[in-house]
Amino acid sequence: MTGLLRFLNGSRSITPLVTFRITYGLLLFFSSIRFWYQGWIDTLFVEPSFFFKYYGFHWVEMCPSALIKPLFGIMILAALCVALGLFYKYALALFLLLFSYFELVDATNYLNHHYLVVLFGVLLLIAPAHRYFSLDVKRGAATERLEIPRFYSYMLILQIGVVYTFAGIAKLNSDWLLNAMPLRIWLLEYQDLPMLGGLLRHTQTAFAFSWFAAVYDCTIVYFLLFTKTRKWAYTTVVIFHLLTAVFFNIGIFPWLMITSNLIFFGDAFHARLYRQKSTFAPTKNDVPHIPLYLVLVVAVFLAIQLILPMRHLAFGGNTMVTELGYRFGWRVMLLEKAGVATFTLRDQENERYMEIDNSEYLTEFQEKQMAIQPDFMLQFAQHIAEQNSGLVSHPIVTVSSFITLNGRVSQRFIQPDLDLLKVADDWSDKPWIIYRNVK
Amino acid sequence: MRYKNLNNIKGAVIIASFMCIVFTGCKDDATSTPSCLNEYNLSPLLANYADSIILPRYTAFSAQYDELYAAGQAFLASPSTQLLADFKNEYKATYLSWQSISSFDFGPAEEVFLINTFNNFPLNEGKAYADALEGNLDFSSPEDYNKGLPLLDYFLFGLAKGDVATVDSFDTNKKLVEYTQAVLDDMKTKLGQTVINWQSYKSTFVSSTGTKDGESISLLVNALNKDYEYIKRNKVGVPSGVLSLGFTNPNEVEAYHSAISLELAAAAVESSRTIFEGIAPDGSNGIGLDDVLRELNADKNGQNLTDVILGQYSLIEEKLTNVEGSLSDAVDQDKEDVISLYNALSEQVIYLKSDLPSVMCIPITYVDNPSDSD
Repeated sequence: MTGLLRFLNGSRSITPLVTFRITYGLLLFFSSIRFWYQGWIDTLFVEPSFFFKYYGFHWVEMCPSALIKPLFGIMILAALCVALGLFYKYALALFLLLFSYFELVDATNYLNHHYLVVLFGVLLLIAPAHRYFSLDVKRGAATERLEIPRFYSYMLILQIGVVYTFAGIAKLNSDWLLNAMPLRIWLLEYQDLPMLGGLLRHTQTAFAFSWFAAVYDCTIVYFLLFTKTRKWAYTTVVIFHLLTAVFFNIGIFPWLMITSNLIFFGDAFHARLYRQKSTFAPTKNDVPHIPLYLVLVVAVFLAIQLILPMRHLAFGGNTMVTELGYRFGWRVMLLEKAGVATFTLRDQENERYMEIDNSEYLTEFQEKQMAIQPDFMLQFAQHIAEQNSGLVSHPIVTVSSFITLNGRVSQRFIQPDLDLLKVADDWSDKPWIIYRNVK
Repeated sequence: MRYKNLNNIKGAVIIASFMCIVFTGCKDDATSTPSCLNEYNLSPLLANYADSIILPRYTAFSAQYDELYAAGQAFLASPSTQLLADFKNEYKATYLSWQSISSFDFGPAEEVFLINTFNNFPLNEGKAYADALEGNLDFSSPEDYNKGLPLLDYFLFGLAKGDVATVDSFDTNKKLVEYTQAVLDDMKTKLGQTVINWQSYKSTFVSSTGTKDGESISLLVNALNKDYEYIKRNKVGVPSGVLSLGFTNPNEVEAYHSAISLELAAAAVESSRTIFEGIAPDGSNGIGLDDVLRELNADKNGQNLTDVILGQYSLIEEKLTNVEGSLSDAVDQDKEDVISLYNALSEQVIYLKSDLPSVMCIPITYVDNPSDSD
């Protein structure tokens, strides 16, 4: 234990951490502006009249629409302040709070890489990333520091390792490896591109991409860790993520990985970025030690992340089908999934019933997400009953639901005669999901 | 020395991780290889749709519309019961013919809101009548329900009781003449634009062979589905009361006053089926979605998906013939047959909207994704 502590307290340059802070702040500054510019504030936050909740966060309500843009504006400024290292801790805390808020208000918009933004932000919050090359140092609010314990860079490296490793494990399934699905579907979308198109049409290309991506995700962290392979590994990182940025609609994820992977580079590399002497030698002076409690807190933080992606093992069936334990598991780009969910609201009093037109209650995007996610269906059933309580006093809501997965024909998804209003959305298995394994 | 140790540790970690990965990954479900359109050349399919189906149908519909337009002009110029009878006949023939092109709501048709121009129903009768009296002849908004064929249904069949009275109202109220003329012109203009633009759009349509959102196969399949859902929901669902606790809406049927809803629905279903099969107006059966599905060997409950879909179309056509009288009467008097028709229509949605795009690997989207994905 003391050996580990001594290792983690070993001194290294602060510059890798500073690079991480600056790129993180800038990336979120620009991507939040893009989010606004694309009109997504309106389509995702203003237009919907109903919002899907995360388990445990049902209390998070959408704020009045007049407040959305001001809050979003503050979030953008806070991201910029993080990059500049101005009021660093407050700006980062504020950014994290607002970013998490906008994530939590509608689970429809869940994205793995937004979850990663939050995790990186939490880790940055305990790191002294503003103690060099920052306005806080310039204005005298923080004392400059050139060296920090290597603990801080290792926690970020471990975080990145968690992401890649689980993303890699998730790809080791028969659809990905033996059918090249869903890449076949997605690459096919570009089959009429000049030059490349002809290549993309071939199934072999999709197989090559799939296998490469699986090997990449499973191993890249180790190649980045070794000094000898690092340069080549990082070149691969850049090419790989740029390719995904070209072909897939995955927002900031490629850029987030390209910039955050710089943390693997040594002190000399980063020191040069700040025109420091190219040979950085730790002086081991004045480096405050990491308290044990902080190490433990980060250990618990990371341990939770080892457990969360594996919680699906507690349920029967394939998580790609059931979506039980799917979120927060780094299951990225695994599914081309669509569904048709037709809800029926019945009155127990008088045998009357009606089919629900989902589009009266949900945006098209929400409808699409709801049709493949059972917990959303439960929430939607409750919403239907509440909205029609004036018409139907003793409601029963059932759903006729079919989903398609990675190019297959559809299967019935949910037990059709189940009253969804009687089902609690908790952590227990959901035996009423009747399509559980790929067939 | 210390570094060497560290390297050993790294090696052990790598091996351990690999073991973990392989161990976790290898337990997997039994597989069935999903089909996909890989290496399938879509050009002949798209060419058949453009040359043998879409363009001929537009040509036929345009010719029919010209007849309606001429009959309308003749009647409006000097209203008489004889000319009214002609106008009404052409109206019915046009409405029936319309069903054969309502599935092509993309490209040139989408640009001019052709669907909204011709067939926004149920008509907002109060607004239409008020607009006529006020001489409000602006039909640019696709959201307005005051125009198109439903307007003719109301003015020719529902405005007054009997032909004599109808002729009389057009004789005495020039505002009605003016408004009807404007509605006819509006349809003529937009149809004309659609037909002309298809001449140049055709090459774009045939050459866009990707499957991405916005490319031809995606447009075709999505529009087919959108129209199909319109048949299910608007033509049958809403009137039948399945969407309103069993309280029926007989006056919300398509072509309420002329009472040809069932013929129109039958024509729409036939159009949907023949598009699926790739059948040209002259009856020749070219390469269609049905052939693609057959080639992909898409198995649905032990049957080829093409057969499942065709079987369901037959079932729907049979259920349609079971419904007696006009649809607006049947929703109350022949409830069971209407509901049974609706259920048959609903079942087909799964095959057309879910199964077909999935096995063809066409993303189903009615709008652009309003977000990133991951």
